[in-house]
Amino acid sequence: MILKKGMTRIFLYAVEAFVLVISAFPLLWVIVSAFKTNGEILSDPLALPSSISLDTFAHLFDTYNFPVYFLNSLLAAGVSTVVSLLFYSMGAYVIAKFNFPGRRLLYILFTITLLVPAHSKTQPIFSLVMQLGLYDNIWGVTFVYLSMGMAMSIFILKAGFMAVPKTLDEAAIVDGAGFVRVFLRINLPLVKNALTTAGILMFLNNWNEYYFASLLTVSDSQRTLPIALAFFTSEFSYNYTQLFSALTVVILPGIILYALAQEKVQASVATAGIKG
Amino acid sequence: MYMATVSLKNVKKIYDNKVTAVHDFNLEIADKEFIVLVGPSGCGKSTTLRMIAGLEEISEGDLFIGGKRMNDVEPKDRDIAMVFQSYALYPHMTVYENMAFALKLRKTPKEEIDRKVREAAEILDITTYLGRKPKALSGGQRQRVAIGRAIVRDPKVFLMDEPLSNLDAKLRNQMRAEIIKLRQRIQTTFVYVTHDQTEAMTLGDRIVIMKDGFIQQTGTPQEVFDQPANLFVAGFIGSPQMNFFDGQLTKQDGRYQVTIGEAAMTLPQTAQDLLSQRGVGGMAVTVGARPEHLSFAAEAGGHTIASRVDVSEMMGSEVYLHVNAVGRDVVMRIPTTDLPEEHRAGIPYGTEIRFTFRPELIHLFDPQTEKNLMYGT
Repeated sequence: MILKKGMTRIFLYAVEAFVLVISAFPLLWVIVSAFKTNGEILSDPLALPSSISLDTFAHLFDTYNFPVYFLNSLLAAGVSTVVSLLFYSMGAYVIAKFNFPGRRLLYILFTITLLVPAHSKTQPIFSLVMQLGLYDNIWGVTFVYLSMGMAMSIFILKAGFMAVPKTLDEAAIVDGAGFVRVFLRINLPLVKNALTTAGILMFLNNWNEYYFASLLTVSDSQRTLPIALAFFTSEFSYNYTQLFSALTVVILPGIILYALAQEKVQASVATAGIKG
Repeated sequence: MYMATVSLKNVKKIYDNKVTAVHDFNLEIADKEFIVLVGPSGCGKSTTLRMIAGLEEISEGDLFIGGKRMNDVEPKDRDIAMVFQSYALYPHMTVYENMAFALKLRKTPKEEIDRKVREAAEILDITTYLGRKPKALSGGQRQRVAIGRAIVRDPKVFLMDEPLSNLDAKLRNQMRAEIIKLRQRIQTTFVYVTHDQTEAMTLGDRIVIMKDGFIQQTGTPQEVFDQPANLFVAGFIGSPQMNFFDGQLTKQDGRYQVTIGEAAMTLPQTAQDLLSQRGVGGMAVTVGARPEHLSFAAEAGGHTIASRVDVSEMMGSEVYLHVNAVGRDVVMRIPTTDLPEEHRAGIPYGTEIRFTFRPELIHLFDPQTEKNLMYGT
């Protein structure tokens, strides 16, 4: 019996270790390689760097327009995330808490966009951005990002709001709160986990987004990090250190962000799973 | 002085799916009166309370609070406070913030909020928890906070929706006593909903007993206990439940007599008067007798009935005796001191005993209409 339990445990740990290695190893390898010289990378790809130097990062920011790309990415991903969360939370709140004709249909319409591949919307999005005069403008990209992740966010947020008991709303109504206050003061603070999860997922998706950013921008000053990286790949084909340090700059914010909010994300995914 | 009377006139609640939850509800609640709405689940008591609170729309009829029609008035403008069964404390706020929330929304000055919250906390003995979040409190403490949140508002009408049903039995008894004390301190009108008849009896100035959306009877605890309007009320109020027997009412030489099986008894004068005033003739009746109004009979004859013991439950000061008589399960509640010496240690299954009625304490119901023949309306 004890032996059987022990074996199960060993098996579980083995699986966990395997998953951990295949998901974390590439990230670590990229980050470690950013501190190695080109020679070190080529001669022994798995070795640790002989010395730690931030020169390559400094060089990256000095030589290239990196701060601009970084800011562009931050702007496009950050603004779109914050603004869309505000709107999606309102939509999800109404769908979760109020009964009205067409509620189910509306929810289905929102979430069905999950099934529509983003690429199939290329043409209409492109002409819309052109007509708005936002082509080759980071705000045009931000605008497009606003609509991405809607289905997922509404799904997560709706589950969050549904988990807030209706009696809390009623208590607040009797206490004197109107529609807006019940939403802002009672419900919104209570779906913090769902907001964080939806926000992180949306931010990371938009931070890493390549397709629309490449389609809608041409000039260097409007580039986001993923676009810049594509250019680097060809430019740095001989300089792996530079390439890996550029990659590190791109992936690090996402990792840090997720690490900080990991508990909330897990809690929210658990609720969405049960009540969604 | 503002009078916190509540008046419901022909109030009806019909849901979208055409289900009528409350039929033609009429009730006048006096200023500072404690009214308890009681009934089994689904009887419409909570719906009625929620209509008073403004959380449910009134489909038909009128609601007046303090003489003002409130049908279309927002809950926040009705000058009511409500305590919910689930406490409904805001989990992200401390106890203090929970209690201060309504006052803040009303833009009450900070010092006044502080004074009121501390006063209420003092009354409810929760001062030490003011800085805590609800999840760090026990069920009883949460209920106190929920009550506190309502009293800081100084409402004209205090609504309580099964506030004690989430508590364990001991705590429930304790909180029930506290509510009685609270009521004496804050002189205001209470409307209290419960499914527990003990709560209803102990708390209410008047009780409204409901079933299937209809009021069955409204009266003081003593009235509904002594003069239940119908079979439902008779069975619902009182614990253990009233016993019912099939009987025959006969009128001979102007005197009413009731026969149950082999037992025959002449009714006392009050009952004679009430029945003849109402012109009741000889008929089949359902006879109700409370378990405490049945007693042992030493010998046969008169109005005694033979029975066989099924179970005897020793409660300490009394015994609940479940017997089988005239084809019915009958419960008797007998003080231990009244038990014959040989039965003090318990009465074995199958023992043959006889019991007797107290004619002045029996109730007579019409088996068809289920109404009380002496007091029903």
